Amino acid sequence: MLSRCFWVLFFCSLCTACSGRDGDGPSKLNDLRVLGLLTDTPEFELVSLFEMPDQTLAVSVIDFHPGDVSGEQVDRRYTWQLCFSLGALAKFECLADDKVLEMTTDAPSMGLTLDTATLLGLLPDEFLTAEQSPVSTMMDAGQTSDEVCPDGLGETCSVDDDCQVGLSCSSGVCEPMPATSPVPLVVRVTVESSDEQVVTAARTIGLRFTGELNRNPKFAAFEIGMGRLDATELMPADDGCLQLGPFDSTILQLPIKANFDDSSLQSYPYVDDGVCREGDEFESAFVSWYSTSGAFENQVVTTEYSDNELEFETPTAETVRVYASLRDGRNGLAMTCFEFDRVESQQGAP
Amino acid sequence: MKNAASHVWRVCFFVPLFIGLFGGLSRAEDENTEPKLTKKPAVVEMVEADYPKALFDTGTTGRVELKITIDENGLVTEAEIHKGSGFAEFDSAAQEALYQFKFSPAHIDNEPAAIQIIYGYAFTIEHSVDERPVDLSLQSQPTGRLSGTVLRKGTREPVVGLTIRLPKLGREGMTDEQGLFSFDDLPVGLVIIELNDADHYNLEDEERIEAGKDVNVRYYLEPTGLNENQVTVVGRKLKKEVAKRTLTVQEIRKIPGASGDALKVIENLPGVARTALGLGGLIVRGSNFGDSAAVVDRHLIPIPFHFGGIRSVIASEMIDTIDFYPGNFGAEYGRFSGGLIDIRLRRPRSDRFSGRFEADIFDSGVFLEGPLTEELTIAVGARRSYIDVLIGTALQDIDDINFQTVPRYYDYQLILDYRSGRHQVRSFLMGSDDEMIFVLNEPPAGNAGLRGQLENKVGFARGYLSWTWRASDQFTNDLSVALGRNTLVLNFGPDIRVDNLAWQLTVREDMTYTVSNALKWRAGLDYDGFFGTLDLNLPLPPKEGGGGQQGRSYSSVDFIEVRRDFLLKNPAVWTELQISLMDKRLLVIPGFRGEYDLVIDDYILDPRLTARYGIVKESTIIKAGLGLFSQRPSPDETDADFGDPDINFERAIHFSAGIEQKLSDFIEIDLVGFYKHLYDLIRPVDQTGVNTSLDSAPERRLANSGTGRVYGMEVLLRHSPSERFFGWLSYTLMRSERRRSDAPGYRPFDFDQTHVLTILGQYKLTNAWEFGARFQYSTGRPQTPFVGSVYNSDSDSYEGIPGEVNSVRIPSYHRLDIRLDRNWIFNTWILSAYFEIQNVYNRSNPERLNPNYDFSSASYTSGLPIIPSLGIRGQF
Repeated sequence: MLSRCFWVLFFCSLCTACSGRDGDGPSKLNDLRVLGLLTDTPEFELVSLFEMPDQTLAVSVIDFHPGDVSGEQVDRRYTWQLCFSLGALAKFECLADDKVLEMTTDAPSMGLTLDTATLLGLLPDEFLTAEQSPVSTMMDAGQTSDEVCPDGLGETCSVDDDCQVGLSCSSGVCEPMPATSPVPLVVRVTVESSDEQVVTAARTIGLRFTGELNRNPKFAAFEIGMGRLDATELMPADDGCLQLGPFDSTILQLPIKANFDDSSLQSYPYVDDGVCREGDEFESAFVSWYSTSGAFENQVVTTEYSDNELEFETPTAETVRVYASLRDGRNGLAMTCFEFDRVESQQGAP
Repeated sequence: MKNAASHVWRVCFFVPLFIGLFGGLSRAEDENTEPKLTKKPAVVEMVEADYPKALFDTGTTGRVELKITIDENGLVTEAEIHKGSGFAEFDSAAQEALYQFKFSPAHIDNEPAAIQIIYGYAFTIEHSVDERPVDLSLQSQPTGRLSGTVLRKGTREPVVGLTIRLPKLGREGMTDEQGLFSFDDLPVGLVIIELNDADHYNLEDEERIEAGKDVNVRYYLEPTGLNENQVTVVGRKLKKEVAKRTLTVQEIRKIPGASGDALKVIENLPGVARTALGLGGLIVRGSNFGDSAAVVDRHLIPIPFHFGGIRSVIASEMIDTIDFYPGNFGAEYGRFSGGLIDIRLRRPRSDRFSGRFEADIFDSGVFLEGPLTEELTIAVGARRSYIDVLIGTALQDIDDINFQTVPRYYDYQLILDYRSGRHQVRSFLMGSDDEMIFVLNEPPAGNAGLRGQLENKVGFARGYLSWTWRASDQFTNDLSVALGRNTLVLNFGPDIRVDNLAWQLTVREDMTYTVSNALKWRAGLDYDGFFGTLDLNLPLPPKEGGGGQQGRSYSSVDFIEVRRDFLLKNPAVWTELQISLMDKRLLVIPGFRGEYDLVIDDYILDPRLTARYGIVKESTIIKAGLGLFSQRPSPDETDADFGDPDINFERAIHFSAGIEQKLSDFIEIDLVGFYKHLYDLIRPVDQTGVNTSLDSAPERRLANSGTGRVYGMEVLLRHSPSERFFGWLSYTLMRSERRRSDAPGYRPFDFDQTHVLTILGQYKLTNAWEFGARFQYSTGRPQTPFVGSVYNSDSDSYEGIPGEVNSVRIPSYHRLDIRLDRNWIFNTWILSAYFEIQNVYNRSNPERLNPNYDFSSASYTSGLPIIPSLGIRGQF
C-alpha cells in the first residue's frame, strides 16, 4: 500500500531537509532582498468592503540592499500588481493576465482604495458568469452566517435543506461555507535596483467572510546581549532602523532574543473535517532573523524555542544591521530592524 | 619380479555446473516444481580404456575431460570431448571407454533423471616393484578391512565419485553418493592411501590394518575451486523468456559493493538504471518506481529492501534462485508493467544440520537449517542491524538533526518443508521491520513549517503455505496462499501523517500439464486482495516528471486528509502453451492473462508471446517477445480524496528480441534490443494539484493521460564461475521518455540514463585468498532546473519557478569497489572474512541538484564517499 509513492515522498522530505544549506543561508543579507510585504491588516472583511467601500489597502515592502548599510545610494523601482490568485499554490500567478491592477512607484510602498468595483474588475470573466462563481459564493457566505462554526455543523444531511442556515450538505454532513475566500487577493512587487538586481515578492491578502479578522502580530521586546529593548523603543522596519550599541568587536557571540506580544497572537476557530476546532497563533508563530554580518545560530525560532545567538567569526569593526520578522502563521506579519556598530575598543556594551 | 605398468583413471565431477542441461531430457524443465538434484550419479561399472600403445611405449600420460550425458537408466548416451589431452589417441580411447560405463542414475526430486556431467579420465603409467599383490600367499594370511567417509573440508558435504587408491596394493575404489568407501581383505600392516580428485587437493595417508578388524577413517578434502555452495541453476530451467537473468549463489556472495546481499546484485544487471542515493527501488528498462515488483515463491512482497536499498529483506541463505526479468515475463505474472524479480526459496538441507553466522558494519545474521525428520526439513534465519548500537551515539546530533532512533531494521524467516512421494508442502514465514526517528531541530532554509519529529516505520509480515502435488508425470498442481500485514507510519511535525495498516491475501493455483514432448499447457488463478485502514494527511506525492513541484515551499503545499477503511480485490487468470518444434530447437510460448479489478471496476486482457530458436543447439539462440502488460493503480491513486476513482489500468507493450551466443564453456554473450510503448499512464490533471473550484467536490486529480516510450539495447557478457574466476560485463544503452497528452513532444523520464555500465569480476588468488572488483558507470539523470523564484512573504520562503521538465542532467556517476576475501577452511567449518572498499577513488558523485534557498544557484548533493568495511562469516 502506498509503496509506489512512499519512498519518493520520504526521500523528498529528507532532501528538503538537507537542501539549501550550502553557501550563505537566507539569514545572511548580502544582495538585494525582500524580507516582507507589510499591510496594515492581513485580511479584509468582505462584507464590510461591500457595505463600507473606499477602504484603503496600504502595502509596504521591506527590502534591503547592501548600499543601505554602506551608505551607497542605490535607487530602486517598484512595480506592483494586485490580482486574484491561488497564492503560493500557483506561485502567485494571477488568475487572468488581463485582470491585474498594476502600478509603479519609486518608494517602497503603495496604497489604493478597495471598493466593489475594484474587486469585481479583478475577477476573471468566467468567475463572474459561472453559476457557482466565487462572487456568488462570497455573497452567499457573507450574507448567511457570521460564525465560523455555526449551529448544526457536522449534522448528517442528504440535501442542503436539511442543514441550518449558513450550512450546506457535503458528503452527507452539514458544513459551513469557507470562512475565507479560497481565492485571495495577491500583491506582487518586483524590485529593480539601479545596479540591475531584480527580486520579485508576493503576499496574499485574505478576504474573510465570517469570523474575527486576523491582525498583525507584535513584538514585545528584544533582549540583545545584556540589554533589553521594549516595544515602545522599537520602530517598524519601513521607518528605518533603530541604532544600538556600539558593541565591542571582541564579543563574538551575541545572545539575541525576541519576545512576543502574547495579546497580539490570536486564537481562532476553524472547521476541520466537519468538526469545529480551535487554532492558536502562538503555536504557529515564528521569527526569522537576518543580518548583514555574522551568522545566526537559528535562522528561524519559534515561540517555544525563541533563544538565538548572532555569531561572528572575527573581531572586525563594522556596522551590522539586523532584521527580525514575526509571522503568526496566518499571513500576519510584523517586522523590525536595528543597527549597531562593532568597534575595536571597549567603548561600552548594552 | 618384473616391472609392471598399469594405467589408472580418475573421475572428476563438475556436476553442479551442468545439472540437467538438456531440458528435453530432464524433468528439470518443469518450472513449477523447482527441481532439485537429490542424488548424484556414481560409477557402477567402469570400463578401462585401452592405453594407446605408441603413447604407452613412450611413457606419455594424459588426461581427458569428457562431457557425458547419463540417462535416467544410468547409461551414457553422449560423450563429447570437453577438454582434450592433446593426443587424439587418448581422447578417442577415453571416449570409447566412457560409452561403456554404467552409472547409478542421478535423481532429481528423488526420481531418476537424465543429467550431464564432466568426467575426467587420466592415463598414467605406474611402475611398481612388485606384482599386484594378488598372489595366493595372501589368501592364507590374516586380513582386515578399511572403510571410511570422504567429506569436503569445511562444508562436510560428501565427496562423490572420488577415486581412492592403495598404490602399494594396486587396489582402487570409489566413494558413493554419501562419500563412503571400503576395501575388504587387506593384508595386515601399513597401507598407503591416496585420494585424488581434480576438485580437491590430493591427500595421502597411511593406516595400519589389523587382522579381522575394520579400520574406519574420515577424510576431509580441501576443495581447489571456489568453496561456496556451488549449487547453481544456470541452465537448469527451461529457458523460455527473451531476457531472464539468473544469478548463482556463488556469484552473489562475492560481488564487491553488494556485501553478499543477493537482491542488491540485481542492480549490476543490464536493464537496471541507478536510482538516487537512499531512494532504493528498481528502475527497470525505463519504468518508474513501483512498476517493477519482487515475488517470493510467486507471491508479492511489499518491499524488497530495507530503507529503500540498504539491504534486502530476505536473507541470501534462504534463496535458491533469483530470476530477474527486465521485461516480457510470462503470463503467470501480472499487475506490474515494468520488470520482475522472481525469488525462489530453497529447500533446507536434508542430510544434516548446518548453520551460518555473518556480521559486517551494517548488521549481523544467523541461519540454521537441517532435517527434523526424513521428510521434514527446517530453516530459520534472522538479521538485525546495529547501526543504532555502534554508531548511534555519534549520530545523535548531526548538525540540525537529532536522532531519537537511528535507522534500525530487522528481518526474520522460517521455512518448514515437507516432502513425501509426490507431495511437497512448504510453510514459510517472513517479516521485516524498519524504524527511524529523528528531530529536525532547525527547519530547512525557507521552510519554517517543516520541523519537528520525523517518525518512519515500515514493516510487513507474511505467512505462506504451499502444496505441490505431482499427480503424475504429466500433471503437476501448485496451490499456495499467503497472508500478511503491511504497516506504514510516517509522521513529520504537526502536519505530515501517514498511518496505514493493510492486510494482504494472495492466492495462487497453478497447474502444469505435459500433453506430449512437444506440448505443455500451463494455467492458473491468481488472486490479490487488500483490506485495511488508511489515515493520511499529505500533499499529493509528486508524480514522475513533477520535479518542479519540489520548488514549492512547505507552506504552499496543499495537504489532503483521508481517513477510511479500504478493500481491494484483484482476481486474475492466466494460461500459456509451451510448444516445442523442430526437434526442440524452436520453442514458442503464447500466453494470455486476464485481470479484473473491483475498485476501478474494469478488466484487462493481456496477450503475450515469446519464442526462442536454437540456430546452433545450446550455443546460438535467437529469441523475441511481444506482450501487453497492465498495471492497476495503487490504492492511494484510486482513493476519492487522495487520488481519483475514475482512473484505470496503466498499460505497456513490451517488445524485445535478441541473441544468445555461447563463446566457450564459460563465456557467453546475451544481446537484447527492446522497445516499450507506455500508455494510459496516470498523471496529475494539474501538476500543482490545486483544486480551483469553490465547490466542495474536488475536481479530477489524476487521469490516464500520459504516454511514454523506452528503447535501447542490453548486453551481458558473462564468464560463469570457473575454478578461479567469474565475472560479467553489463551494458545498457537506453532512452526513456514521457509525454503528457497535452504536451507537444516527449521529454526524458526522471531516471533516464543513456549509458549504464557495470564490469565486475572475482579472481581466486589462492585457496585462501580471493580478490574482486566492480566498476560502475551511468549517465547522470535528468533534472528540472529552476529559472527563478518568487519570495513568499506569507511564509518567509521562496517559490521556485521550474524550467523545462528534465531539461538538464547531473554529471555522470562512476565508482570502483574492491573486495578481498580470506577463507580459513577447517575440517568441520569455514571462517571467511572480507575487506571491502566502496568508491575506492572517493569519487564525489552528484546525486541531486539542490537549489539554494532562493533558487538563484544550485549545488549537488554528493553520494557516498570512500567506505571501507569489514565482514566475517562462519558456516558449519
